[in-house]
Amino acid sequence: MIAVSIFGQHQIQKVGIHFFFNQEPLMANKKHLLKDSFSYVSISNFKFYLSEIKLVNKTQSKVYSKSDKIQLINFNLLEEEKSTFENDFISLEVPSGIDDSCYLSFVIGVDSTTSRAGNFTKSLDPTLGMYWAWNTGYIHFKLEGESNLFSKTSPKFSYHIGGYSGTYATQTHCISRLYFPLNGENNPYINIDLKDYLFKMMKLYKESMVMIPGEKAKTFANNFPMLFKQ
Amino acid sequence: MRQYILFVLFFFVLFSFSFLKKKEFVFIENIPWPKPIHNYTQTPNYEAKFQLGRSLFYDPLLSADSTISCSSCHLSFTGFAHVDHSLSHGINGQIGNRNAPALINLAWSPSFHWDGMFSSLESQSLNPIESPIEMNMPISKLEKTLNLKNNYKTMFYNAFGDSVIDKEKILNSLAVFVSALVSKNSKYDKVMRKDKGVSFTDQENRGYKIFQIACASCHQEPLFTNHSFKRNGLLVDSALNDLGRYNVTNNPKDSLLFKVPTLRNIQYTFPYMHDGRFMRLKEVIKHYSNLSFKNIELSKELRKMKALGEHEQKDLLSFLYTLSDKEFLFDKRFQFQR
Ligand code: HEC
Ligand code: HEC
Repeated sequence: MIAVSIFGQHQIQKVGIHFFFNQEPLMANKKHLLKDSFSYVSISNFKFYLSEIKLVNKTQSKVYSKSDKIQLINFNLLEEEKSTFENDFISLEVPSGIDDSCYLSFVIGVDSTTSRAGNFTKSLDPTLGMYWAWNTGYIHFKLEGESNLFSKTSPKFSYHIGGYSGTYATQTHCISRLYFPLNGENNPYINIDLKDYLFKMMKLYKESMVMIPGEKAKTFANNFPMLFKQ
Repeated sequence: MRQYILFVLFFFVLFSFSFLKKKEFVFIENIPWPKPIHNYTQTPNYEAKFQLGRSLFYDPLLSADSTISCSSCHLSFTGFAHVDHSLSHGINGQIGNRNAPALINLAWSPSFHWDGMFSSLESQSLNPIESPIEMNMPISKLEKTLNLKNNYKTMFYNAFGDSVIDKEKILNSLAVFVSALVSKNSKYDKVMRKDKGVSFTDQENRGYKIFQIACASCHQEPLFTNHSFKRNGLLVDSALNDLGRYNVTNNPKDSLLFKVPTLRNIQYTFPYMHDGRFMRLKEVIKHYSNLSFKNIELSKELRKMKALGEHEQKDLLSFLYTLSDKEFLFDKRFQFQR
């Protein structure tokens, strides 16, 4: 991964995204065994939108850089599918000469104006499987897999978290407490660990399917920050 | 001044022509296609019925809590399939037991649903509306709801010459809309029609040959289905335990047979099969390439199929991509009217 390249007055800062389950690198469809070495969780599909990506100072009073892109982060892509979009990293233009410590701020999901607009290009292409319908908009966050903790005979679970209007808009503003010095030597990255998040949601609802906007989806969204680990 | 009026007149004429042109919708066959079975294009006020059907198709009013429309499970951009949803979910997030199929060229289809439960588009449409796990809306209640809406009263009047809204008119206009979803402008069609400057690549040509030998007996051109019920070697999903055609006929011979689906726009209608078990087209081709030929439960067309090598699988895949018809998938006439 190229961390920094000089681009006029700006530098392009790339921030990678790494996926884990219980501190183990996440692998598609692999049975990640739990402590009792009998229960397992496997993930087949995990994707979500990142938007309003900004580089800010600690108090968020200064914005050093922001991106207009709406990115679809997709964990389970084959090599040949990877070329089209930025699927597992963020890239930001950063002006030179910042000596403050920077924080990354972003939103998980697609805002309501965009959901309403019907602009179906790039990461918003409905054929990518993240669009519901005109009245419900985009699925912000999709997590699917299997676990025998739900049921031995039908272990599948599916969480499609979305909605953009009324009381059930589920985009949450999420500040991940990520700090990286802009010296160009480091490869900063974000760690996402699914375990704590998934277990909390499973405890709360014991339900293997949440696929519509509503109270539950909102709770799922409110807990997104738990996913991001330093 | 005179010039100005002429100018306006000219544009008025031009405009009304384009308007007229937009109105007509006919099945123009450049290559021999069979005659459609459900053909509504000759019915009076066809365009008004089409537009009414489209409004209903996109209207969540058709569901008990006004959250689910037909388009919740049938998305225009993906050939009206429920993209990336192996099993569909309806009202209150309840999960059905089958994958929502694409709605493509159904005017030619003698039966509907994976098991062929319905033989008309009207009777089919009633099913999702009233199904307690899909839209959960008794049709009599829907009649009442719509009769209170002035915009619908006008639309029904324009379509049927009568503003009283009833079950027959609702189902008929939905059928008119669904039957108009015709896809016939893929690269494949253009090559077959010998359109100027369009031809298969070598790889697509090789794939087409493999297709004709291995697949076309069931996925018959030009509709890419022969509308029969077959078994293509899938093992039963024990959680769903879906017996397919048997549910309709109660004939043990029909156990585990499913309707042969069209392959048009197959690139975009994932996941695949009646239970959406395959996410990628590659996996489907792998499935056919590794069939167990001793399996006597396999339909006879597949029993003599030889295993496909890696290159052949790639060739076949590239042919299947030629069945994508972007004009159809992004046709504004079929979308929600903003
Ligand atoms: C909750 C999801 C859902 C909703 C809402 C829904 N459908 Fe479907 N549709 C399905 C599923 C699943 C099937 C396949 C059913 C089966 O085979 O048992 C299907 C099948 C069909 C078919 C038959 C296609 C074929 O090739 O056999 C048509 C036509 C259809 N739907 C039209 C509609 C219309 C019109 C509406 C609105 C009135 C609608 N659907 C609402 C999920 C849905
Ligand atoms: C014996 C008839 C038969 C033959 C031959 C056949 N298929 Fe199929 N195909 C079916 C049936 C039946 C289904 C639906 C099965 C189900 O869902 O249970 C199907 C489903 C599919 C699907 C999934 C479609 C969807 O919308 O979900 C694809 C893709 C497909 N076939 C491709 C092929 C290819 C490629 C070949 C040639 C290698 C082929 N088929 C040969 C009968 C056949």
